[in-house]
Amino acid sequence: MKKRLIMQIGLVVLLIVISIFLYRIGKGFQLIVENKNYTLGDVVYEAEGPVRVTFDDEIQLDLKKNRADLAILVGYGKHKIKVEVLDNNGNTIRTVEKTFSLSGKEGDLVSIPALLNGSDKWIFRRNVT
Amino acid sequence: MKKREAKFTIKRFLMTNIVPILFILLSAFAIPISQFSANYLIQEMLIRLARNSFLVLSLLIPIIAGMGLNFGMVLGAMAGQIGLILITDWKILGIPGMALAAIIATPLAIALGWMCGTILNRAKGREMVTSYILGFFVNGLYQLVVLYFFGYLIPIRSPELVLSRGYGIRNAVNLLGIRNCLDYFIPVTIHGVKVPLGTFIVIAIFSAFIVWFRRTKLGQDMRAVGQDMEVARSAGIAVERTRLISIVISTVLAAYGQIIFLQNIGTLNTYNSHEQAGMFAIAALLVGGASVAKATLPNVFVGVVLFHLMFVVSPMAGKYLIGQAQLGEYFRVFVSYGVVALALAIYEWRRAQERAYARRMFRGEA
Amino acid sequence: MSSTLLKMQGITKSFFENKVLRNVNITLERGEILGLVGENGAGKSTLMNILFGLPIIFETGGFEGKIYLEDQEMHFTSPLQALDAGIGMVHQEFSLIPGFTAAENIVLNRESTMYNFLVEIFGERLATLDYPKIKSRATNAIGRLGLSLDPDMIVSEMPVGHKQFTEIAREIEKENTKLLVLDEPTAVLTESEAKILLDAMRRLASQGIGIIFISHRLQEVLEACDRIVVLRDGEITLEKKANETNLREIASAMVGRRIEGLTQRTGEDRAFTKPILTVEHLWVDMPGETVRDVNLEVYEGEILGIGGLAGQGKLGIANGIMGLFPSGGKVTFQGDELPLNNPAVPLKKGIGFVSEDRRGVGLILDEGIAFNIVFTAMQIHDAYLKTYLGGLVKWRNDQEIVKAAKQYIEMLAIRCVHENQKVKELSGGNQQKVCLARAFALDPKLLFVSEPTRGIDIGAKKLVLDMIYQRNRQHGTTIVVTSSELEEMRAICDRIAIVHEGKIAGILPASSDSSEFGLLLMGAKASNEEGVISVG
Repeated sequence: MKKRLIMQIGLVVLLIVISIFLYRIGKGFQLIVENKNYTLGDVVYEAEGPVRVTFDDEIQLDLKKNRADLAILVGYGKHKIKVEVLDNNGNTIRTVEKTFSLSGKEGDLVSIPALLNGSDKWIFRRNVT
Repeated sequence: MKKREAKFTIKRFLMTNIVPILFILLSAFAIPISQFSANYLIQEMLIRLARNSFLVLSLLIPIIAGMGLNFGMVLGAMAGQIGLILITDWKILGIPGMALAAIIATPLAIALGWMCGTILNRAKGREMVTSYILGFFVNGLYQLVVLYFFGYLIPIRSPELVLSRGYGIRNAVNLLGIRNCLDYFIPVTIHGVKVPLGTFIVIAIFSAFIVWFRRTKLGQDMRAVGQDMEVARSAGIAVERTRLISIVISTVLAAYGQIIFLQNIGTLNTYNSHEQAGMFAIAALLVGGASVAKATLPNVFVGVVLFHLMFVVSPMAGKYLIGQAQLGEYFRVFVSYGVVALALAIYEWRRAQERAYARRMFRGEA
Repeated sequence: MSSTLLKMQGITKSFFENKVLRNVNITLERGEILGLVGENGAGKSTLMNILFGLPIIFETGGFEGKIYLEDQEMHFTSPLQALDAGIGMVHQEFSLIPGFTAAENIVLNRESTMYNFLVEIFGERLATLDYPKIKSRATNAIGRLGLSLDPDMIVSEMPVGHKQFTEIAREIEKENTKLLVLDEPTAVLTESEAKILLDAMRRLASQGIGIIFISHRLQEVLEACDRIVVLRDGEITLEKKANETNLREIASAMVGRRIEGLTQRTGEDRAFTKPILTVEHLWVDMPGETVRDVNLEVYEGEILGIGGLAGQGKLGIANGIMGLFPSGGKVTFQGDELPLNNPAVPLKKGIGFVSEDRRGVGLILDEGIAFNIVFTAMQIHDAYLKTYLGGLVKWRNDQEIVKAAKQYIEMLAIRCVHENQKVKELSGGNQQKVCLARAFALDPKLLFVSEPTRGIDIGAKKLVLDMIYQRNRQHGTTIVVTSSELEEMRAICDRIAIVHEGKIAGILPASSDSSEFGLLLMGAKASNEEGVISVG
């Protein structure tokens, strides 16, 4: 009888753990992806265009110069971003790949020009400075 | 004597299957008129099988336990919807979202099922009416929770979910985050027909569960209680508890069923989606040839196909036949309630017949 | 270890004021078959209920006396305790799940199961059933009985005999069953089935199981039992080895219940010749009182009694003729064939009926005495009505009703406050008088009275019987009394027909010896055939 109670408590704990796990892998975040001129201190990163942005090999956005769009990323933890700069015929000129993590709040912002120009601060996280 | 017996079985077969036979005949008549292509109909049937089968499956266990058609399954549907509202607010997407909604709905459904089962134990022999009315009562509770507590006692942060006054959930909740995520989890297309394989796998697993469940001690006890409560009691089976468990299982399965259903539809009508769930599931099961006392897995699937074939075909058939699609629309509602009424009446009539037959046998002059 | 299995000592039990068992002593040896015989109401069921510790015994104030099982005193307070102690019971009604196989029923709630991991979380009930093992256990139990019974057969498709065997197999499949009580197990069996059952009983006894065999078929009791105990009015009137007694001795020990305050009207043998009602091949589908094939003639002016044990079908006859239950056959009343299954027709033709179901069928409990008395006459004969507009509108004639009611209240000595008192406030005896008054108000040519004295006190019994008797003598009404109380019928009837297994076992003059009736009740053929038909 005692054994069964332990098993039952174990099951409930397991379900709670699974719930937390599901929450973490299933949570969706809105991310603003910007391909506009970006001013960071006194440096200005010029936008290039058009670019193709791919997150986690799944979500793909095509952005012209001076445009922005929304992407929904799923799950906490590390995400991958791949930025391809295209020429006018749609051929890839160069590719930059990076991994990053999110703030856990809505509305983090990614600046493509900053990323392409090798700045560390290419992602602007909400409430995290 | 032999001849009479044979006649009796043919008559009996017709009587037991009168509803599905009627539907097959109606469909045979209506399909050509509707001018739908075979591909379209197959696609529709696959979608509807995926969408509805699980809800109908949730009805089986109370029937085994002799509690009739569990109109109280709408309680489970409500629990499922509360789970969906929460995960939508939290923006949990895809399969994890669905799974989380199911986990949240489970304790709610258990609690509601427990309440329902306790009440039904006090209303033996009148389970169906009681559970039907109970559905309305709990609908009131559900509205209280969703309309007043959400956003007030239970924090809801997404503005697109909350009514402009600051609390209460809007009439329609967009389930884009989980839409079709299970159906097409494993993408399969055959001849241009998309097969919702993911959902079918889940349904298959639960069908297997029901088959297995019938072979457990609990399942055996439920069958015993369902057939003769007093005999079961005198053999020492805990009748009340067994009945209670059957309703709890049914309510929990109904919650999962509603989650799968809405996953397929893609929008939740906060205040209406659950209302029809019970009636349509029950109608589908009865169309499949089930009765108040006996229902099998084939009844479920045959019923879903026949009932929804009627749903899909009748508006168009009505349009081509009389020039009015509304007639078909009217026909569906008319048919679903009519089927329930007919099946209940036939069941009572047949039971009286069988009792008289049994007494004749007893008298020894059958 | 002594060989005495069961000892019931000084068992006395009363239900309220009514003593149903007086100082009953019973012993049962291992491997012995004890036949327990008695009329309905003799106390057999109460004795067995005490043995099983049924809640009803304790709800009505418990009992006096002691019960020893294997020399240990037992205090059962629920049947489950008795079962645990090794007492098995096979009931009259089948206690089987109709949709289960024989094997499933035999191991009901004692199924063999197989472990799976879910048991750890959700409990034993999620273990799966071990069908091969269940089947082998069932086969084994059936084998012990020495029967051929397919363990895979569904109960609802079995002949009744097999159902009975399944029940017995279930009891002996329990590992510790030492004592088996069989309550009228042969009542529903055919002769050959009953024979198999008796063989199985002897087989079990030879394995050391003690058996108490309750039956109304005396022949079987004599054949199968080692010892016979006869109960009458809660007392043991006979206890003998089966090979030292005979049918007649048992029968006369059974019947002849004392009824206080009843005087037998003897010395008045009336002869009748003209039949008023002829019944041929009547069957009635009344649950629990099935009539199979009844042939009967009722003579004009007589009082005919219909007796028989409970469940044999005596109540079905009147109910069938009155059209209250589905029936068939041919019934001729005053030369015309009476259509069956239509309750209005017999009433219109002048056949009255006082139902055994006083509160359900007989009375409108929420109405006054007066309305209850005239109700049927109003419906059938349009009596006590004022008609207007050529019969389109009918109003109750209240003055007439009150007048008639007062007359009956006085005549039948109905004790009440006034004539419009609700009948549900009356005592059972006075309710019965209202029922009779209503039947008399119809002025019937033939009156069926079923169980007129059931559930009323002794004083009222005498009054009710006197009313029936006087109605017959003063108005010449032909009356058919159906009753379980043989002695009461012997006091007022001219002839008494005994119903056994849905058929008339025989008709005797009321003055016949009580042992003759006893034999008929038990389904044994009366010994002097002349006596059966000598009245007409």
